[in-house]
Amino acid sequence: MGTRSNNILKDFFMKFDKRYWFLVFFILFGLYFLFKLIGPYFYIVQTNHFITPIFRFKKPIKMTILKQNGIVETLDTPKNIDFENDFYIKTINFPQSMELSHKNFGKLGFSGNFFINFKTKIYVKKDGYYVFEIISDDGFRLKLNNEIAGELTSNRPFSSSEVFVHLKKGTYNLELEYFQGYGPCGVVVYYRHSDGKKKYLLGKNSKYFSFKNPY
Amino acid sequence: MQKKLIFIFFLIISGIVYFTNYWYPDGLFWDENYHIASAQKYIDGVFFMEPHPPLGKQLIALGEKIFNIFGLNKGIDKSYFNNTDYITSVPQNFSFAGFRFASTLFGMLAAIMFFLIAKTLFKNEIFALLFASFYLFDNAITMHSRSAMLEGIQLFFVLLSIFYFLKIIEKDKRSIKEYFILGIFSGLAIAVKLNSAILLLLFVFLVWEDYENDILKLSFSLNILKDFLLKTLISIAGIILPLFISFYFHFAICKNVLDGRTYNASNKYREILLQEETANPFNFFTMLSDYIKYIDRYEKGVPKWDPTKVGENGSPAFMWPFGYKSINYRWTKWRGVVAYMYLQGNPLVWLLGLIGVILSFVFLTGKVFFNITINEKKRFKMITYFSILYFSYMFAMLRIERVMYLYHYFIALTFSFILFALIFLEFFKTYIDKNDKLTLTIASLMAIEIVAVFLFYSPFTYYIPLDSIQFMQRVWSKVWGLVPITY
Repeated sequence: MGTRSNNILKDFFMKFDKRYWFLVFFILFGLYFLFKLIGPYFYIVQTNHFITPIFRFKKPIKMTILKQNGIVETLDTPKNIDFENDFYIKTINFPQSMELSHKNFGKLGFSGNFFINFKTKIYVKKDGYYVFEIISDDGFRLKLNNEIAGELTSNRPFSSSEVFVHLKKGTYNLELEYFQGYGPCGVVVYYRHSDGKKKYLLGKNSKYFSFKNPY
Repeated sequence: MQKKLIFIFFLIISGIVYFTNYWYPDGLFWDENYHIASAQKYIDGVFFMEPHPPLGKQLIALGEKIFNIFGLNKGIDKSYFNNTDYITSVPQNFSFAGFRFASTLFGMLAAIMFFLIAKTLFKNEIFALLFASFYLFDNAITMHSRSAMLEGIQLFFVLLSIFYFLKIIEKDKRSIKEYFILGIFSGLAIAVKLNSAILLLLFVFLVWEDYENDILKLSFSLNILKDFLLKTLISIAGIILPLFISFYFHFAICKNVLDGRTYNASNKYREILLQEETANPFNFFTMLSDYIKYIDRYEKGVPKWDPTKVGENGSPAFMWPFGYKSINYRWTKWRGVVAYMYLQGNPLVWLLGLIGVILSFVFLTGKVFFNITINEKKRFKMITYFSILYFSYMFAMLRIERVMYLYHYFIALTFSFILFALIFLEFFKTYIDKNDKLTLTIASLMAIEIVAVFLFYSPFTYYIPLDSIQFMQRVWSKVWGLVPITY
C-alpha cells in the first residue's frame, strides 16, 4: 500500500509540468497581494473612504483621533485641533507603545499630543453590575448615555482603572475620551459582569453585551 | 514591424516611469546634498575633492548646465553651493530639473539596456519586454535614479558592460578591439562609482571563454601567451582611459580654491593650483595621487554600521536580498497624510531575484555534486558567471567595514534579475521556442503583477501622500523597516 501511494506521488510529481509550479506561484502571489491590499480593512477603516461601506460591518466603534496643535497636559486641555481622522474599529485594543498601535492592525501614525473619542452603542442583555476596565497611558473619561461613569483626567503611565456601573437591559450610548501627552501611549478597554470572571474586549459581543455602530 | 513597436512601447513607458515629475519633490534628499554641491563646483570651476570618482557628478553638472542654457535657474544665486560640500537648502524658485536630469536620463537608458539584455537572453521580443519589467518597475531603482545621485548613471554603464559582454560571449573568439570596448564600458562605470569594479570579473570570464581548452590542457604556446598579454594590456588601457579622462577634466576644471579650502592637498598640488597648471597633463599623476589619498582618508572616516544607533539607516549586506533596510529619504506632513520618498524595492521583483539566486545555486551545486543534466552548456556557463558575479559582489560588500546602504545592492540585484531570467530559460526555453501559450501566460501574469505591485508602492517613489492605513497596507514585512512618520 505504502509503495503504491509512493509511486502515485512520484508519478504525480514526475508528470506535474513545471510550468504549473510557476503558474501556482504567481497565482498565490496575486492572492497574497489581494490579501495585503484589503486585509487591513478587516481591522480598521477610515470613515470617509470609498471602501468604507463594504468593510464597515462588524466594526461597532467609531474612533476620532484629534491631533492637537500644541501640548496636551490633561484631558481638559482646551482643544486647538490641527486635524482629525475618523475610523471604525472592532475593539479598543491599543497596547502600550511609543506610537499609537492597534493590536491587529499596527501603527496609526500618532505618537504625542492627541485626543481620541471612541463612540459605540451597547445593547445590555442582562441587568446587573458591570465593570469596565480601562488600561491607559494617559487619562480617560468614560460616559454612558452622556453621563460620566468614571474618569482620570491627568497623565499617568500605562495602568488600569476599574469603573463599576449598574446597567439595566437596554441600549446605551458609550463614549470614551482618551488623551495622550508625551512618551509612550496606549489604551485597552475590557468589560465584565460583576458575577463573571471572564472579561471581554470592548467591542466584542458576549452573552452580556452586543455592540452596534453609533452611525 | 512588431519588434519596432515593442521597442517603441517600452521606450515610451520607460520615459513615463522615469521622467514623470522628476523635478519633484522640490527639496533635497539623501546624497543630493553632496552631489548638487559637487556638480555646481564643476559649473563654476571651484576646487574640491570627493570620495567618488568624478564622472557621475560631471554628468549631473552637464545636465544642469544644459538646462541653464535654456533659462532654467537663471538669475538664481547658487554660489552658496560652492562654499560647502553639503548643502542644506536651495534658493527660492530653484528647480531640480537640471541637476536631476542626467541621472534620470541614464536611469531610463539603463532600463532600455536591461530590455536589450533580456532580448539577448530570450531572443524573443515579447519575453524580453515582459522580463524588462523587472528593472523598469522596481520602485527602489526608479526612485533612486530619479534624483541627483550617482546610481542611475552607474547602473546604465554597468548594464551597458553586461549587454556588450553578452553580445561578444556569443562568438567563438573575441578580438582585441572587443576587449578594449568592454574595458571602456567597464571603465565608465568605475569612473562613476568604485564598486562597479566587480565588472572586472567579466574579463576573467572572457579569458576563460577564449582559452578554456588551453587552460584545461595546460598547454600555453607563445602565441597564446602573447595574445593573452595583449588582451590584458588593452583591457587595462580601456578601463583606465575613461577614468583618466574624467579625472583630467576634474583637475582641469576645478582650479579655483575658495576660502582656502584645499582638502588637505599636498604642497605640490597647492603649487600647481597657484600656478594655474592643473590642465597640464604632466601634473596629472600628482593630482590623481592626492585625490586617491583623499578618498582613502574619507572612507576611513565613515562610521561603521551601528544597529544600536537611533535612526541608523545603514544595513549589513547579508540582509539586502530581503529588503533590509528601507530608508526614508524625505517626508512632508499634510494634516493627517504624509508624502514619503522611501527607498523601498518592489517586493515581487526582489523576491523573484532572490529565487533566481537560490535556484541558480541549487542548479550549480546539482551539477557539481550530482552531475544533473543541463539543457544547454552555454546557458549553464552564463548561470555560473552571473552567480560568481552575484556572490563575489556580496562577499566584497560584506568585507567592507564602513556603513553601507540598501542601494549598494542595486548591482547585485540586477545580477539576480538576470539569474532569474536564465533559470526561467533553463526551465522553459523549449516552450518559448514552440510559442507555448501557457508559458506566455505565466510570464504575462508575472509582468502584470510586477506592474501592479510597482503602482501600489509608487507613492514611495513619486512622493504621493498616504494616510496611516495606506502606509500600513504597504508594510508587508517587518524586516524591511518601513516606519510611518508620526504626528
